[in-house]
Amino acid sequence: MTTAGGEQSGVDLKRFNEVFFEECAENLAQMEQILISLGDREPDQEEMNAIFRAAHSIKGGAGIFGFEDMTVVTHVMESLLDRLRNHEIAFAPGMIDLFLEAGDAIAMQLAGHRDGKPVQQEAIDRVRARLQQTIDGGTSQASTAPVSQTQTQAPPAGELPTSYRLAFTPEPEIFMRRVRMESIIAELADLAEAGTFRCEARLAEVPDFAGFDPECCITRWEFALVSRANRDQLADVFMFVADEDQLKIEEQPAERRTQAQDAQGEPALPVEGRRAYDRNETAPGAFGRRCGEAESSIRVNVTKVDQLVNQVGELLITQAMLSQVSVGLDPMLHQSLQRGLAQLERNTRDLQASVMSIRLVPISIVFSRFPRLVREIAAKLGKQVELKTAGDSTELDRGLIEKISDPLTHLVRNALDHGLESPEKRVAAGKNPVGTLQLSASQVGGRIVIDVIDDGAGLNRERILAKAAENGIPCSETMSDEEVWQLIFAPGFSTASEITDLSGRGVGMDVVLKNVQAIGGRVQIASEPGKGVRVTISLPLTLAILDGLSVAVGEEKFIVPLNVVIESLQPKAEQLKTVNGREVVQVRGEYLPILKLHSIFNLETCVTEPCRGILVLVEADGERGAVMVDALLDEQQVVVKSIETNYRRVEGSAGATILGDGRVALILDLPELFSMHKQL
Amino acid sequence: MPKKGFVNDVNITLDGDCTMERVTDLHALLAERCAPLTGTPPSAAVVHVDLARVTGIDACGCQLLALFLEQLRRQGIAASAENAEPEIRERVELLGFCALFSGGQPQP
Repeated sequence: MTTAGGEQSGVDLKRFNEVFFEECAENLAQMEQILISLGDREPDQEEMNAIFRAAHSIKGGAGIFGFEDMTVVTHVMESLLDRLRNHEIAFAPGMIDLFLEAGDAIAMQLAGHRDGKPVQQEAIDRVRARLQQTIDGGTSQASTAPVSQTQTQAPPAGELPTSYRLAFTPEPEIFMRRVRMESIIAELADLAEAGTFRCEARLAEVPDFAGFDPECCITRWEFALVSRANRDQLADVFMFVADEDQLKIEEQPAERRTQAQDAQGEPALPVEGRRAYDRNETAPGAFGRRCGEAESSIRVNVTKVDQLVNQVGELLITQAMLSQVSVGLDPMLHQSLQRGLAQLERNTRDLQASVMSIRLVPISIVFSRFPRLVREIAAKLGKQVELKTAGDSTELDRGLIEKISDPLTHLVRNALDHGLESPEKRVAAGKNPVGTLQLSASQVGGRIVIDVIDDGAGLNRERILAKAAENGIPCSETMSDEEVWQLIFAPGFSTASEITDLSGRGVGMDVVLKNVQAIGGRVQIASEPGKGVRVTISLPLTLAILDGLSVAVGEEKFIVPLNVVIESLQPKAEQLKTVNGREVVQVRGEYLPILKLHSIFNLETCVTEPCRGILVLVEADGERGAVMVDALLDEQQVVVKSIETNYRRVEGSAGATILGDGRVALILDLPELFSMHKQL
Repeated sequence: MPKKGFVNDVNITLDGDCTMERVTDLHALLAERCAPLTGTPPSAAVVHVDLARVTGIDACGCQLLALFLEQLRRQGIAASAENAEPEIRERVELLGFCALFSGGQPQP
């Protein structure tokens, strides 16, 4: 009928479960971030609290939403953290790795529930057993610890627990959401001093039994307990199920104070008990968001945002169509209409900018995974690496974030594996034994530029050429360094078995290039022997909408991305030359190749000579050229549609768009056009 | 699905889980008994719901049973649920339904 995973008719349980999944993923990420930042040192109290809260939150949510298996590891982890926090167990650096492994196990369970991915139960059992062993071993060890140490951690004398009364008015759908009230109440009871917990359920109404919807909740709960936990901690128990107005908490302040404090008029001391872990807690992602803080954001399903982006895209097309129609109207007769259309255009652009900004997320989402990756790989390779990141707040389209993650991971792995040298080699080369790997992101013009920079040995030109020749990849000694570096992007340049034979890199770089190109990006490499390598990925800001210049060639129209356009000109005959059989235009002393679109796309046009057409000077990926067109038409925002999805891939195009008149126009991919031009 | 064996008009024995997953069936079964019991005049002065064979219970199941009992009480019938196994009783206590099951608490 129904499972904990929520495959049920009536109510879309997945919607509710998704909230838990997202919270869980955030908590895992936060936990990992803190653990990685520790290195091998012992976490301070605040960090310990934050880790504890993350684990506790995952456990609590999992229990409430019926994912009982996820509470197993978190429970033992929480116990270990609790003992560490209370200094019942001595910290050991190996615990960091153990907690990271525990996080991995929980993440695997999360992926199992959310995405149906396989869960390796033996891995879960293993990490759970190791956590338990650490607790058992540590506790016995700690029991022999000096008395003075344990005494210092005892709660200050004179503190009293507080009496609370709570009233919980759940929403009518709480049962349909498969919320386990028993888990919530049990967790609340766990916070109570022994023998003080009272729970009473009341029916808010007594409707006619026959007509009653048995899945509708009409029960109200009242609780009474004495606890050392504070108000927020009690509220945290209900964090997934209660909004502020659904939970009332009353406390008897007089019982919080000692007689001595009352006499002196001192404020009550904050209570510290087993779960007093979020005192003065300021860590992000902390409990109590629903009760303690004003909501500054809402969660929206990505598909809804995508739908909105698409609808705005269609609106842009409609607006462009109206603008086009209005061009033929007499401005005197249709002044109001044209004013309205101008206003519509402004509003549409503002709307588009707002909607696109919703999709933007900081690249720190990707960068944040690398500290752990670097730590683990460096440890395996016996290398010392310092990871630096810059431009973490640079925003890019969420769709790009998801797709850039794997290529970046590949580049980081390569840099660690093949770029950075061992400490011995670095010292021998007069370098700091600790290598540096830098990830930086920035917005340059209309693109996002991500650099992966290492200070390793750099690429080895001779070996790359030798390897290319060996693999049958066309190459020659006369190639420039840049051309040689490009060889490592050739499919089959290197294979896994050859990794250790090559001091440079190249493993899977063709896949990196392919993945980056698939999202409209480019990859460039710069290398200096002994100094290191810089791999630069350049990506479009968004995949959905771009500013373009529409141009005409024969009967066809094309869109030139505005961010590559330098200027347009009608060349004079004396500016036109032929160099090595190729037509070029001389502009301010520079010779630029002329890309004739009618030739490249095999179109019929009466404008075949540059001096009769218009040259649009463009620059893309450091290369300049002049695109020859019949006429410049308009500057406009266009909605990028995938031509591959709707037709097939067209070489030289980065997609297509629908123009105001309903016609389809190709969006030019200049770097690809440059490369096609060279092959002509 | 909860099975029910009617020993007689005043004893209702529930069998199986009384949980959210089964609550629709449980509702149908109890509604079937509720109608004749709450006639005018009521057909019984006392009704016992026997929980001895209940294997699982949650807040949703508890609520339904409590509502059923309260409906009977409003007709002047002394209604209660009892004989639960210790595990079930603990769950009912944890969820705060003890008073509602025993009839010890007036409802609005």
